[in-house]
Amino acid sequence: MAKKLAGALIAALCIGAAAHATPTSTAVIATPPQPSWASLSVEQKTILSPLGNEWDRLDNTRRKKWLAIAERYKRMTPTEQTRLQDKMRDWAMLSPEQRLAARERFKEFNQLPPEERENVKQKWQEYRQQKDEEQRRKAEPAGGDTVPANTTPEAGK
Amino acid sequence: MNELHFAFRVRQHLNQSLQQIDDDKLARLKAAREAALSAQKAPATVPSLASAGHYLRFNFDSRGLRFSLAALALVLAAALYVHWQGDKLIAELSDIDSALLSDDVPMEALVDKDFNEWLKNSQER
Repeated sequence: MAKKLAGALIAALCIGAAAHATPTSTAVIATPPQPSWASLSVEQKTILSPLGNEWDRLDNTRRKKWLAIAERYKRMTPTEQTRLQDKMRDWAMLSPEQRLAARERFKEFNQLPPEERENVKQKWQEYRQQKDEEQRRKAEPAGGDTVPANTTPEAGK
Repeated sequence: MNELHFAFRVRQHLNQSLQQIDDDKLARLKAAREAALSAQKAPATVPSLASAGHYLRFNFDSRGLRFSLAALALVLAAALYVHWQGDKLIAELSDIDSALLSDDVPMEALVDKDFNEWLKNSQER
């Protein structure tokens, strides 16, 4: 009898620990089955259209999360709605670790005062320009001589 | 002497003997009889539902069933907690994801690990 209770206690602790652990992947959360793409309403399909091809491969937890986001979408401004849909597919393609790290950075970013937030956005543009320049320089041949576009390597010899 | 006659003679003898019992012995016999009658419990009628309740109570009282119920309640409570935690986590994720994706901060700026380092270095400069 006490064994039964001890077994139940261990089972309960295991279930509780699994739920309490900070998941790097949402796959550990037990979620009831969520609708397939075909079962979504027309409105849900319209909102979640960037995920149309991936939807049936998403686990139930992620489907439930996206359905909750689709509900919030209705209360967003048209600009926010466009931004959300533009980023939706790329976001879903990230690895769970990348999404986790991005959420942490966004939380930090969100706590910044407005002027600092603007500064970070400007810095991002600056960083992108530097990166692009670096890539262009790497793509150029060593020595800095540019090969004319119509010259083949054989012709240059 | 047939049987009936014998019974009659016994009765007659007992009646005669009864007349010969002393008053104090009679009083003691009477008191003992009354005490026995008052101690006797009145037979109670037991309704069928009470019988069912008694059966359940008897079984509930048994330790095995109590342990099983406690174990079941524990697992059920854990399952409910997991369900509640899952819902809470999904709500948190949808909160932050919808805010992140609808914000004008480029998603790449949040994903690019090098940018974070570059930003720190550029602020130190």
